[in-house]
Amino acid sequence: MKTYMVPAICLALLGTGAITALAASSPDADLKIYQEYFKKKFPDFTEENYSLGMYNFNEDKRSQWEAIMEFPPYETVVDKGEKLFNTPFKNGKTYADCLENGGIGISHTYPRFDAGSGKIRTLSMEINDCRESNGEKPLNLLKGDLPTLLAYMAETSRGKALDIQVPDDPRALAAYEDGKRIYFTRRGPRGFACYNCHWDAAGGRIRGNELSPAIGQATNFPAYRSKWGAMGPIQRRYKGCMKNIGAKPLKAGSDAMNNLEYFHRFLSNGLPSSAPNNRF
Amino acid sequence: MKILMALIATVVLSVHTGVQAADTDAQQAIDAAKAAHKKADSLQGGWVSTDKLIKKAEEASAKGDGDKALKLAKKAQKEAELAHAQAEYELKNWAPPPYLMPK
Repeated sequence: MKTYMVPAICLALLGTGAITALAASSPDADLKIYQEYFKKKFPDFTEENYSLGMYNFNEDKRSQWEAIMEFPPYETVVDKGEKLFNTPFKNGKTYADCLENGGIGISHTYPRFDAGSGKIRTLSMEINDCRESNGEKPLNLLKGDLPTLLAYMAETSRGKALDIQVPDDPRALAAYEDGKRIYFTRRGPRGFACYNCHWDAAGGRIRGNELSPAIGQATNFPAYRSKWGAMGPIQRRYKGCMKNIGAKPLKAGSDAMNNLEYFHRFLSNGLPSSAPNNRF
Repeated sequence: MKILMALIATVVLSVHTGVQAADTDAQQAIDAAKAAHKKADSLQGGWVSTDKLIKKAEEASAKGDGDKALKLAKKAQKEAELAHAQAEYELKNWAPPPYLMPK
């Protein structure tokens, strides 16, 4: 991917703050800095360690997770997702008719910037748009059949390196910067931003929970969480994090949430997709 | 006897008027808190606890406890104003921490 300066239009969209820092940044330059940070913090980490997240820091939880992974609950969800994926709509068409490469092996490239709308498109949006264009009702973005379909599609991308593209388009850069802004914005009564837990505090603990590094988290979603007792997309996890810091969660599927997903998934670029996965 | 009756009526009316005033004050405070909360939300800055305070204020109001409702609504408004100030500040001043900035 090319390296470029953030255009003035992006800065104008972002207001006056932090311009000095942002003016010198680009997605690729950011990623290099972010990766270097964790290489220094966790010099022995392999790609697998990044994917393991919090299980790197607690042997007991790691062994519990490994036991769960012998017969992972997500497997039945993947099977169900495959059936749903291949079940024709009332008009006889299927998801494969709408999606690039028939929907197989594309999950690791989402979210994507859509030049037509100038906005970020998540895989969930592609699924629901496909349904609506075939006369079907859109699905709930956070629970039920949609994450089940996402799980199957993620399975077809397992092991492929995350490849989130930020093209040289001011609107794509603005979306990236907006996601970055949300990520680094302090919210809620405790004044926490995402980074407060998942950069310098990564490997530490908050109450009984170990904190995972920001890089690698997105490789695991959608994930079957024991807490949910269900498969869920990454935006459901964001909502949980936001509630944990006392901030009102952003709306799933909103531009803001999609931009956050775009930035957050970009952080894991180059790491192999390990979704769907299991999480506590 | 007539004087006593008049006094009782005056007291009852005063209490009733006082309760009505408290209810009106509480409703106005709840509406103001909701407006302030919406303003913070418009900057993606609302707090979860403000929702809870407003809900509790509405419950107290529905039970006729105007004083409690007023107190909770004022607390909710204060929170919403803090949340809005935080969101405005962050919009202008957010930045990655120094250790993630270009050198």
